[in-house]
Amino acid sequence: MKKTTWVLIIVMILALFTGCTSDKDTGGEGAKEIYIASANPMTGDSAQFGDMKVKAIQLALDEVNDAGGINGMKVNLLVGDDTGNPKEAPSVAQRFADDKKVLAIIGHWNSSCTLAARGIYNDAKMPVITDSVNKGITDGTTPYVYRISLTDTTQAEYLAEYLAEYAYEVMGKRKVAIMYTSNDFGAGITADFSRVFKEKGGEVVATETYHEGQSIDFTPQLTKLKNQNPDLMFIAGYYVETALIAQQAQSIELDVPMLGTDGISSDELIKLGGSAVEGIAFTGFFHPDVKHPGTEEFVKSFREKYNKEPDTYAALAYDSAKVILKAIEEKGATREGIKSYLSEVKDFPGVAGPISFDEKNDVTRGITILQVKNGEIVPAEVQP
Amino acid sequence: MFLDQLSNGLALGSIYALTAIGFTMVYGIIRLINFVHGDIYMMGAFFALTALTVLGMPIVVAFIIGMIGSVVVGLMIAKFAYKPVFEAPRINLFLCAIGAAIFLENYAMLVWGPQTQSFPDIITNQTYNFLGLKFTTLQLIILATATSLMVILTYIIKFTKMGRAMRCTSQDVEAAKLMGINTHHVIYFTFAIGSSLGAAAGILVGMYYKAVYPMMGFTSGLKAFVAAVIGGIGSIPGAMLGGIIMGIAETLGAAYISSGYRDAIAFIILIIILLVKPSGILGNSAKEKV
Repeated sequence: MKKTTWVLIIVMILALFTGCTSDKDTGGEGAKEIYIASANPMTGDSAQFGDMKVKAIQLALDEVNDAGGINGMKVNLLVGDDTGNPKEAPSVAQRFADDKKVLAIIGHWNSSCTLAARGIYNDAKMPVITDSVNKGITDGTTPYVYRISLTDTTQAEYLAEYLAEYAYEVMGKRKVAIMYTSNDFGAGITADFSRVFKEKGGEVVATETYHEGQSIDFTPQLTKLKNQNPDLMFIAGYYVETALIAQQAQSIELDVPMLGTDGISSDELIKLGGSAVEGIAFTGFFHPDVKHPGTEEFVKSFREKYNKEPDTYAALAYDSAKVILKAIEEKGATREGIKSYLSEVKDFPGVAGPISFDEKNDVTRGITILQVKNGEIVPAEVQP
Repeated sequence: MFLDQLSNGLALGSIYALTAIGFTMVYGIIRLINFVHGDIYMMGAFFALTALTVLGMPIVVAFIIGMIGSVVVGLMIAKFAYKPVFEAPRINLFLCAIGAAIFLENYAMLVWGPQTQSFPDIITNQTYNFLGLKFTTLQLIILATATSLMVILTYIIKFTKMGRAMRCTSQDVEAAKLMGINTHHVIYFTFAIGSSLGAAAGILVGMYYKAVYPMMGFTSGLKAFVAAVIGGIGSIPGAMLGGIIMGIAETLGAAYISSGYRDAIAFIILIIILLVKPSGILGNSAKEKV
């Protein structure tokens, strides 16, 4: 018994040493290999988004590696899983932050996760490109965190502008009912949306909330909304819930036009929602038919490689990876180098439009309004 | 509005009841809080969905395949996860259940992918009106299934030979064994029935919400547990009653108090009922004789 314990201890000590040596080895090889990391939900409710992002990042890396790498160095992707849970995100962040060979992070997807993890990255001087939308992420306290999607405020204002035009002038509507997911994203966008919509002279007749992943029964909320006789429903949530909300709205005969956010910009919305999501309009940053330099090639190779349609998050993740790779090429394979490139990049040709970051580290880009028509996502006819 | 919300609540409640029945039955016989029940329910929905969409089978066959597949999974879990620790303290069994649940969730993600999949439209829904309460065809099917399962199970447990053996085993495994009851058979039989009930619930709920996803069993499992405890855990009519109470309370709470607190309301009801009647509404409060 005692003998076995000793053997075990010796084995463990040996394992520790081997661990050290292998670490040093990779440190030595750091000259030949470059590592960037994806910190996104790979399991849990938001797993499909992380999956799309990782696919797109891998595509960008493969393209570079197939062309001989950056100055002869191969680029590798490490995939972390924050499970979409803000309690998990900091531990994923800490692991990457402590890993000296990781040069940059793409993620997190959920606003709550990015908010929870950004301090850790910033302390480690790790450049991060996120596509979370909560405006608190770029409040100036974390200069290493960049955002490649628009904030909820910009989106809400933009959507509200669109709404004002579309609702007043085209349809003559002014009573909106709101359904939002109770997290940083949903609450943020709902607050701004309501403010701008009221400023325009509209009326928010009812606001109801739900907990994502807790319940898929929305009939009590929808029955309440229906009783306020809205002429428009704004859904600030992701596509699974939005599809279910649309279906349940149909079944309780709440038949009003619907608006959504970029959180529903996915073909899955139509697969899940079927005829119930017909006509729903939402913001998007990317559509295969809205062409920028490289869009066509990206869509084509994504389809070929994964047999799937790339969505907004895939396009943004692809662009994030491309910017980081360019940064490494221009400024060398260090965290500081990438950060300095990100702070000065101007109109980088992304597949979802040109990328520049403003003084708050937010991207400046346009939005397209997309709409579901005949079971397909197409750019809306009336753009604001 | 009130009647609309009441019918929403009844529909949700019958779904909870359907899930809770299988859950409470396993507890009643084996005294195991079977946290894997929610995931068996998810597996059943996925098996049926695969049979329906990939193999192109008619709905009745897909339904049966879903139930059979879940029974197999349930029996394997009973054999590999529960059997080895059956003699150990209950907490070990309970931990094994949680472990098996996590395993199944991740297994489903691996096989079917993490994304939500849509369940094809099978049944054309019509709305029926009873005294102002509105029901759709599928809601009625769910309610009818829950009720008939409750009656059939009560019959099996109260009046058949196997049922008597099950009740004996639930009272004292050792004594039942000495009396010549094959307790292993009884336990596996219980898991088989429990799993098929879970699968039936999962398939119907998948059809109802037209959505099937690997995590669908988690909250449903939790809600089924609460419904079973409210009604008196181990009591099959109690699970039915508990489910309906939960559904109505949640819906009315969301409608008249706040939609953000709907889950909290369900759990507040649980606390109140446990304070007033710790064994649940229809629970058996008789002390066990030592």
